[in-house]
Amino acid sequence: MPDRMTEQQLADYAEASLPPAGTPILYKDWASGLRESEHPEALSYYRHLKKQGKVKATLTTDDDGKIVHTIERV
Amino acid sequence: MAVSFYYTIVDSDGDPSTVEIFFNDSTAFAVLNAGITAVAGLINPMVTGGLRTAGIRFEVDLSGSWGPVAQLIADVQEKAEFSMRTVGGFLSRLNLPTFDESFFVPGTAQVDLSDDDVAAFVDFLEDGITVGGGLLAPTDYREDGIILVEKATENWGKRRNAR
Repeated sequence: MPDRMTEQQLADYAEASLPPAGTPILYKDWASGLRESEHPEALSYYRHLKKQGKVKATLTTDDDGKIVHTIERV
Repeated sequence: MAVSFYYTIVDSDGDPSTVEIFFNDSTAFAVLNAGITAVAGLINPMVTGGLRTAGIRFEVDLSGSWGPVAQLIADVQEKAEFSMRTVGGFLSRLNLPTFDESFFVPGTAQVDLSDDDVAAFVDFLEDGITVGGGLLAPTDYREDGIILVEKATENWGKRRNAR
């Protein structure tokens, strides 16, 4: 059973799971990784990180018109 | 006057409800024309209704990707309300009808903002989407840019066509 973490620890855990700055990752891949980690509840701190300016999001479409949603550590 | 996209969504009874999202009227038409399909791709995964019509003050045929037939569980009264804050500090709200209940946090009236489809839509509202060579960034009806989605909650609404 994973240790119970504080809110700040969970936010830090989510932030630590991000690739280095300059390396975007698909949100769904990052989220999937967190859901399978020891602390899936850390995923809910994505918006906290975004509000703090620690992560930015980019939305575009691919050649087939499908949504491409990536995030990147700032 | 702000330019807007509209999506008229119908439930399994054929009752319609329209989603309208506003943009700055200086947005290039090529961006708007590419963007309406892209934004449909953001909304469609979260709702169970069928799409009757969509357009920028004219109709656009999206039946290839989002057909007019609603799922049996679709109900225009089942809405999710996204509450947003604009650059000027104004509060703006956007309701999605026939919202899929699977996107609520179990046991609550809160939309799961960490869900992949929901997160994409929320990030679109806050940061826009790059399509057609330009940035399509939502505003409120005053053309005031949206900077933050504060919350998204269940909102049971009224049918427009009372029976």
